[in-house]
Amino acid sequence: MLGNAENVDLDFVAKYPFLKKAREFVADAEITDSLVEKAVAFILAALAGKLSEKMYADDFEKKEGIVVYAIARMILGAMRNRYVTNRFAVAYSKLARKRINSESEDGIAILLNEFNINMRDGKVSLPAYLKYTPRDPHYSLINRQVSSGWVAINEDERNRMIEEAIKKHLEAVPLLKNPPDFINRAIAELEKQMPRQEERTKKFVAKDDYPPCVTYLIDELKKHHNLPHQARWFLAVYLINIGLSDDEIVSLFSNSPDFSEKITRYQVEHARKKGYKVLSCASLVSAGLCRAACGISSPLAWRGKKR
Amino acid sequence: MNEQENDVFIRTVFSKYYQQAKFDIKRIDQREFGIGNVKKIDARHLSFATTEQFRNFLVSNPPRFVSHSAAYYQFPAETPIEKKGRIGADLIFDLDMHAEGKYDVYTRLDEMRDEVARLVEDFLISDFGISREDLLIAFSGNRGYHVHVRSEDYLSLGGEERKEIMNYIRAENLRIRDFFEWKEIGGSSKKTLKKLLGPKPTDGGYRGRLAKLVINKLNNSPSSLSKIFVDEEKRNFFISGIMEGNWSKTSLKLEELLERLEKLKPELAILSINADPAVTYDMSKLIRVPNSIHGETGFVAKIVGDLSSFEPLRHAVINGPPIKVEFVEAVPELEILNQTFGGFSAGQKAELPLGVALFFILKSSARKL
Repeated sequence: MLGNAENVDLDFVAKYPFLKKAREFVADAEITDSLVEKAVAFILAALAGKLSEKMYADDFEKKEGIVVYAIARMILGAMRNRYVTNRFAVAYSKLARKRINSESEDGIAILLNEFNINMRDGKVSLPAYLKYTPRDPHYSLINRQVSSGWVAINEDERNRMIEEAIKKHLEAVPLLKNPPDFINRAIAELEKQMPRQEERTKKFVAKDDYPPCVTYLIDELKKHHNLPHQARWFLAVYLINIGLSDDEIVSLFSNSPDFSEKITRYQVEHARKKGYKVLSCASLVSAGLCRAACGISSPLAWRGKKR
Repeated sequence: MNEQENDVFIRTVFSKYYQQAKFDIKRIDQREFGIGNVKKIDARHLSFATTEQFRNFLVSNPPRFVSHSAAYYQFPAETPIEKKGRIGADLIFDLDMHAEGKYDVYTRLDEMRDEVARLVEDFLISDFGISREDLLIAFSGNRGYHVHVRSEDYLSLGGEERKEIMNYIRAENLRIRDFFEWKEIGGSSKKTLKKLLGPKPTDGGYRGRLAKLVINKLNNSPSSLSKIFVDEEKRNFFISGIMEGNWSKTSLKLEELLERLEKLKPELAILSINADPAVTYDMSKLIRVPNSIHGETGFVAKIVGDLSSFEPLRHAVINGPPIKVEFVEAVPELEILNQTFGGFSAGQKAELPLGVALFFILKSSARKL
């Protein structure tokens, strides 16, 4: 039967170590210092955006890879750092996506099953569709054929949904209370080698007089949540228009789990050069970015109104 | 009768109603409740283990308004909200009618029924595949309806996902033009033949709905689309094309056609759904308890069995012996309980059925004698 966990073998689990089934393969594994070191290096590579495809020589290495993944999850669960967890989730789910793109139909069925994504005849159930597609115009429900609770999607969109499901799974890391010593040592090591949070965000001066739509996006970023494209663009253009510097804006966006300084800086500079106008409240409503009925027509009018 | 006596009268009527009221609250022990006397919600974070406990509360101390959470919680009475431990939340649709004046809306409540029927049949059942058993439709007790979706499949949706559903139903950013495309079907090197492909009635979602609506218009009021279609032959030719998704079987130009189709949007979408971001996002919101009394009207937020025969001002009015009242302001003529009341002028006295008297008293247009 397709999607049946019984068909899951070590090769498959080594590719997707987040599967529930993975535990069975490593239940009796011994945790050594060298494995903990590898887990720390694994997280650091994810934070630096340098995760790469691993080749395992034999079954022993495959099992080791699964254990390293499990230790990394424990570290994240004990650390409870939103930034690290979310950035890891983005990097790791992107790596998994590459594997998904060349996955067999049987393998895809197992992954869909893992995340309770119902699919049949190229259609996915509506609740799953809503949960695992980004909220951008391409995936907007209005542009889709929706019938009897099913939404038609193509292969690429299906793979994108699995990637999102993996990301959400990784973001929702279970809290690890009273972690064992080796986890505490790993966290200490990780914190020593990680870029410091203060350095990343100190340049952004928080002000309290932003309209609700802007405050919401800033708060989301501070919680290290990824913003949809249009939201990022709106926020950047707004901040440019109220007079923030490129550095200040880039430092705010550095909270984003998928932050790349080079790309962000280029985009902010580009937006400034083009002299984009801030979206009107009417456009924000239709873009789904409006958060409250403030009674103004442009977010720029907020400051004038409040005082 | 003074203010205090008025209040005692109202509470007595409410209390008596609640003794026999039928409730249908799914997983009542996981809901947060809110009550209000001055405002719609003065106090919240209340919880009840059973329907009987809830009823006893209402009978002994009836509030003007009582509402429960759309959400299910592990600890519904905990504060702040983060400590409640949300398990999930019903999807709730709030359809409201807007009308000028204090009483205008009560002459037009029937208009809402079709909107609710379209929401339920076209969107919730046909598009979303929600089963009828998971739906609860209730009159709001004032100027609209609430539709509760209590399906396990939709329970765990987040705020953004709920908003996407709302946007879909309100047809936000619907681009009808995108439903159409020209396709070359041959011809010669000098002149290519093209066919305008568009939605057909068997398509899902808005596409199918648009095709069906246009065919319906063509059959029932052809000139509303174009005078061309008054001609039966031309009309039937166009319809035969639409049935197969071919919209070229007419001399009407695409631009003209699109212009007319855009105007059909209010009939495709449900625009009376409350789209206030605070309402659609907020999963901690409270909604009037179905079959409780609305304190501004005295009407019951009645659970609707058969929508097609439901008339709020007949089926949601409390029964009881007639009451004598004196009007303190002029009130226009209104039809309630299949009878015509008024118009009344200030100072006029009348003996009215209990529910009708209660309505005018709660609207501050009359006082009990």
